[in-house]
Amino acid sequence: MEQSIRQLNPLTKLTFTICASISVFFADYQYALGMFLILLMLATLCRVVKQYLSTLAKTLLILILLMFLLQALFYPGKELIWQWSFLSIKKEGLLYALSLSSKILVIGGSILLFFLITPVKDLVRALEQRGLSPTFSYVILSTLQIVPQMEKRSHQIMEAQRSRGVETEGNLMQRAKAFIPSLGPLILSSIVSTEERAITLEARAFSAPVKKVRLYVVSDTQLDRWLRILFVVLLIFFIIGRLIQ
Amino acid sequence: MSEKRNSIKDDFTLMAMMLIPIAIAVNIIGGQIAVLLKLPVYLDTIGTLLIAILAGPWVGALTGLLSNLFNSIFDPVFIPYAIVSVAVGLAAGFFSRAKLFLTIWKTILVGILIGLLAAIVSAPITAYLFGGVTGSGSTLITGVLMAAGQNLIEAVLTSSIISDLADKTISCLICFFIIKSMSSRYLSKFSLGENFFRES
Repeated sequence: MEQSIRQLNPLTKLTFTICASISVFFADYQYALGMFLILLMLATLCRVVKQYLSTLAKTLLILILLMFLLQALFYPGKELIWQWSFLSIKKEGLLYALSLSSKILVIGGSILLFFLITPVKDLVRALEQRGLSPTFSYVILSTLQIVPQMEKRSHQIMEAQRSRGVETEGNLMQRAKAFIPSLGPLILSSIVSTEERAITLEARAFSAPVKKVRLYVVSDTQLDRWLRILFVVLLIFFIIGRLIQ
Repeated sequence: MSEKRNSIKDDFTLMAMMLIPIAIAVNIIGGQIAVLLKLPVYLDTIGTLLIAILAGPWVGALTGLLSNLFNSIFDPVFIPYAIVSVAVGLAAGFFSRAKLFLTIWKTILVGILIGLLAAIVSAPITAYLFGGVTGSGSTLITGVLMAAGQNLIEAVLTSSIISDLADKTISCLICFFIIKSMSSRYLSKFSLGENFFRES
């Protein structure tokens, strides 16, 4: 089961994510929470549930807690549930927070799940097979490689600058003055190496207008096509059904 | 040489496309360094601004969009804010075409304008999609303002303006100083680089 989900074409998984995210805007919080349970189930089937929950906790949980606090206390409403001096929690605020946070859970959760079960390489390759220009795929893939590389370099540069007397602790002015010596050399040396990379790509006929043969291919099966149609049709029926009510 | 109109194709040179990953990385690392140095500003759009100033509004907009999409892999919150990054990239690029990044004072002015733009575009997203919460210090300001009686969108707008104004102005100034130290050899590889050649 896990393999059959992971082997689906990335665009199929993307269609599911988008349809699920759109659907929560047409229903109440119970539906959204149910959809989130489905996402959790999919995560368990694909055996990424631990990473899924821990990333969700680090990113969305704090947001949702703060939002509950803000909306419960300050949302204009009439039904008081709890009061203490000037603070009051109103039922309308709680309901609003619940509806909003369930939507955030589904939208954010489906995007996160998508990226956990889809290697970016596959996504880019699938898009390329649909007509994305190779330059774009290069941009996306090299970003994934370059960011960790540059992060390491920036640590090295900060260490080097510290050893030259740049103060990274102290009052605000001192710390602020450390910013440009930390980021500047990184940017300038990166621009220089970009020129080298551009020359290297051109030397390998990157921009040559000839037909190229691909080494890595992503499959798009009949099942994929049917699933995509199914998701969109379900969404349309769901929206029409909710609008009629 | 007569002034030629910048076409989109001129902006998207191979060199500019290859700078996009670097700009995205600079966005991320700038933000990390700001956290490391415990500075009260985000400084997470320096890459987008820099590439928009050098290669025009469309490259800047694309970089902003991709930067948010890339960040969203690890934190899905970033996706709706992509439109803010796109707006910032477009604005910076158009201001750069109008040669507004050539002196410190014009850069500060433009930084203020971009800061206002960022606040205005991001406030509705924060207010209506995330209930006023951003996960940064500005949420505290929002809370205080709401306790004082402002409604959600007013409070979010005010706290966004407070945090984005300083952030974008300082980021634009940082870009100004970085471009000042770029040699003509590299500036010439970008469509708007000519504007920054130093009279030697």
